[in-house]
Amino acid sequence: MDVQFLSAPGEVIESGALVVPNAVQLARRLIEGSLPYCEFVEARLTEQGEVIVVEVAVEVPQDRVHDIRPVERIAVHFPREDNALPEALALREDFPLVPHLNLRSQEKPRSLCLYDQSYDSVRLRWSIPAFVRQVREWLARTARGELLAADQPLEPFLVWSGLRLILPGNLHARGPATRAGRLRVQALDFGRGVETLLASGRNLGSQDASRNDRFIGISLGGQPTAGRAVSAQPTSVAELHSLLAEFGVDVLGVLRRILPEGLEEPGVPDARLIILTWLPKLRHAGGDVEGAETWAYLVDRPVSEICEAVGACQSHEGVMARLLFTDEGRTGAELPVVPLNVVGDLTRDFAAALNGAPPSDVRVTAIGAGALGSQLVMNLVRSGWGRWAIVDKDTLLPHNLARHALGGDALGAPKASALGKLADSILENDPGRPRAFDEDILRPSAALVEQLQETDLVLDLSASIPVARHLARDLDSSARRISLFFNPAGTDVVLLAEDAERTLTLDLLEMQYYRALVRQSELREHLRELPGRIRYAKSCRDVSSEIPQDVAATLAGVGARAARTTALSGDAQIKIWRTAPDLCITATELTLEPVRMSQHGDWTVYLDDGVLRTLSAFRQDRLPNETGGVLVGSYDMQRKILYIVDALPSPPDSQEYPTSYTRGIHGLRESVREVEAATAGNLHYVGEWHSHPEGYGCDLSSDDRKLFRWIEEQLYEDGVPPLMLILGDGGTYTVHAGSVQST
Amino acid sequence: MHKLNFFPLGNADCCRIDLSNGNKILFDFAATRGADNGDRRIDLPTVLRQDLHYHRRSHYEVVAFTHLDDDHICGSTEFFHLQHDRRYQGEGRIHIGELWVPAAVITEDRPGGEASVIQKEARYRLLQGHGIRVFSRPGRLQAWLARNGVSLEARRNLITDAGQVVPGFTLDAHGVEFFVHSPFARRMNDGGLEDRNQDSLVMQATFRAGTRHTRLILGADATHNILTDIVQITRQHKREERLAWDVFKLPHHCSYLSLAPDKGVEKTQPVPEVRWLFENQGAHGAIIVSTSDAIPSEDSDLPPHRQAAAYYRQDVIRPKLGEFKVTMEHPTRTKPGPLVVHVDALGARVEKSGGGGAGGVVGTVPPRAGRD
Repeated sequence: MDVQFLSAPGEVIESGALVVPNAVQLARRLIEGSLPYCEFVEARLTEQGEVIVVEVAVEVPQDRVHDIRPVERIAVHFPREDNALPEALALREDFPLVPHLNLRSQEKPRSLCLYDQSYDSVRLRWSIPAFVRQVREWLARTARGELLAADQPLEPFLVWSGLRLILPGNLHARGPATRAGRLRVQALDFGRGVETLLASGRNLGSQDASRNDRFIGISLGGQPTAGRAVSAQPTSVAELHSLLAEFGVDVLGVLRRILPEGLEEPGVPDARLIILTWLPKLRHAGGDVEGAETWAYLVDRPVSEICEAVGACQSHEGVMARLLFTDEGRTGAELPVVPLNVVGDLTRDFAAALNGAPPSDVRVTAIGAGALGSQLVMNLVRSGWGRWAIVDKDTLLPHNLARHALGGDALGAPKASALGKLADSILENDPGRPRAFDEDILRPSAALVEQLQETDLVLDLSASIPVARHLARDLDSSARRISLFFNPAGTDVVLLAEDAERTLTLDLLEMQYYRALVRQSELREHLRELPGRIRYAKSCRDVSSEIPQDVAATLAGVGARAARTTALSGDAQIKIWRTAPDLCITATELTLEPVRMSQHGDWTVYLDDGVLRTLSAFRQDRLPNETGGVLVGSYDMQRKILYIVDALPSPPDSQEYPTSYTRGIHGLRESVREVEAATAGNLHYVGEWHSHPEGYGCDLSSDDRKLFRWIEEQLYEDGVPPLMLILGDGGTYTVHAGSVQST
Repeated sequence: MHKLNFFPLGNADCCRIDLSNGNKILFDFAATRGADNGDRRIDLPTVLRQDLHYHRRSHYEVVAFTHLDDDHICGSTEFFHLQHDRRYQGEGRIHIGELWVPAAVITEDRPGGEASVIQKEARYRLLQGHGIRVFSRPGRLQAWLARNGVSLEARRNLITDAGQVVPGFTLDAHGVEFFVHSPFARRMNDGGLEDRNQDSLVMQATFRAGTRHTRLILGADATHNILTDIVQITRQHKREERLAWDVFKLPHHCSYLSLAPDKGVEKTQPVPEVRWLFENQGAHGAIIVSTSDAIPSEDSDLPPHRQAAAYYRQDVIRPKLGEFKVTMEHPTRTKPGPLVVHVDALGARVEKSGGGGAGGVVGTVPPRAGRD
């Protein structure tokens, strides 16, 4: 029943003889009793530094997931130079094998893995009391089973080879392609010697830095086990062999079989060996495989020498010959193995996890790879969101580089292809590889037409009204459309998102967005040009040449988030984010109105409930008299569409009687100009409206017919159709457009 | 999560139970701290008030006095709002929802001092017919009630006998139930000399957190004779689980007399029934709390007795990999503080958080600042 302790490193010394500052301080604090729940046991001296042995009281529950005791004896080893974390060793002989231990060359005493950061990061906040608290907290949480093993915690007390090995990202789940076999290992050398080895399926852009002949990899897979498999670090091939034997891995057998086969290949005899071990882990004995422990080791000797040392070959007068019978006595005891720092490559799931967001396979076709488009797309690609097709007809020019995701190496390249390549470089070996279409969306190739039919979402980042209208009305695809664009000043980003059923199409949303610019005072400046800024084209989405990249990046971030969250719900949405000069962002979300459509000869007229409510209120206000005013809206001459977007109230000099109405003119020109200014000319005068008194319907009177002809004459000069709207009882109305006959 | 709070009061008792539903129950109250600055005992009224203030309350659902000895009641008449007399009322006094007392508190003849005041309060509440629960065989109170013009039938709902679960608390609704072990009928001796300890309130509280049940035995000042009787009666009724424990508040400040008639030289050897209670009935990782002075290294007449502590440590706690905690030794002998036992889905555990530092500062009312 008595507790047995392992001896701590070094020899016992008087606490007064300590010299390492942190050791001195810990001993002093323990002896003076200023560290709660800690008792000083002894001080010791080692070759590398000094050790304080301390007994700590641990907050343990009755039902312990791991057998941590209410009091544990810990040796804290402080390196003489203050260049590394002190190591905490559990001295109780039967201290359990738990998650978050450092692997050392001997299994015991076990070394607590207290921090998941380097000493340089930790030391900013490091203090003796904090360290002791961390030890006690580690023990308490381990007792409760709250410390779960991270994928591959940093193991600061191992002697690393200094080499990093990038493995396929899905290795943990699936394991290597074969249980035992060759592994392609590329050595990356950027002039500082090889620091990183690549064994994933990734294609590197910088081929010049990679070589395939300097390392040869062998992968070994074991039987599934519960609990941590590797409890000590092997130092030789022989030790590795015996360590892995109990997991069904025959290290020597595999080396003896596979290595000699490669001796004929150029470069292989001189190549160095990487051994990758993959040990699947069970949640509990008999349970499902829930991950794997992956270790990789470098055997820094030529393959030919390794073949000899494991008894597979023998050198005879400088020629390596395979032995007919293996020399079983040679077990690689003289071949040192050094662990490699293993990191998994970036998969879609991993990228999403790092972004703290769920991954998504939604098929997205992005139209436009400009300042907003390129940065927004890359934001989403990097978070594992979307399977992308990118469409852009333009070429990357020097001025683009000021605000673009692409770099100078893509100068002169088609933007879509170059961006597709960049997007493809993020995730390793992802099945949803990006596609690129270097063409004009308005004149799509057959391949692009097919792409658009098979996509889930068309993301319009083109900053072009013609493109948006084309996507809304002409494109043959059931995919939902979402449009994102900057305002001309580059201070705001706008989201127009159709509902999944496409009842409110992009063009209809665009009109409601314009009305908000007129009606909501905080949006009045949204489409205005800023003084001193030069626009080089005439469209509300042509961005001026002066937009800071920090704003573009911020709004591309907002846009990426908006695209992702909007895609989750099927609702239509209009939202405007505006930045202040210090980049504070305010968002305005608009209330959407249902839209009614009517056909008048060639012309289609759209009108939403927002306009009708305004008209009814005007009428109600003047009853029993008639009243009226002008309508503002927009034409699509190409498609013969008339959008009625808003109504202006009756000018003060109008003549309003129970049986007649004559519209006045006072202030009207100014009001219409205000509408035009607020919407950059996208809304303008489109026609007239007037009300009929109570008890009268909306039928045309003879006066009404005269009025309509007058409107027709006035607008004939502009080549646009006349429009007259009559409002009657109970919300009834008639629209007369194109010609009186076609009401 | 429920919390059991014990306080460094020397050889005196107070256990506050904080239920996860917010209810607070107090077992005994002893404001033992003297005016002397060197007194390491805690200022109980102040810490209790701070806790109530923090939780924005001014009452306990239940206050139980296990018996009327001074080390279980002292200072209570200055702390609590008592209904029977306006002199014990006023701002800042803490209200008692339900007062729990053994029958002896009602029937004892002129106990004197603060005990008399508590007795008056208990009698007043019993005659009023609410805000009280008396523990005994109901017949025991019949004569006293009759003398005061009240029938036993009218008060039967306020009386709970040994072997019963106390009404008002259930595992489903409150996460706790209380089972009464003492006072029990065998020891009742109507009209005769009343021995307070032998009539003290001994209970088992069962807490539920998640699916786990955690059991606390509140030992009052029970002697080995009482404990032997309790064990025998409970085993007769085949209710051994009612003596299972995860946390044991030792009787009588770690006195050897709770284990055996003989102290022993180095270690007290308990009588068989008591040995069974401690060694068989304690769970893995169990916690023993001695509400007492620090365990002396030398032999002593008054409790705590080092021989009794040696038994608990070596024969009870060590095999269970549990903890033996002494209120005046936790966290240190020089600076004892509240001993907090958390009860959650993994059972009980003694809180061992750092106490001071920035984390503690923000949870503490700082001294007043400003000019004189």
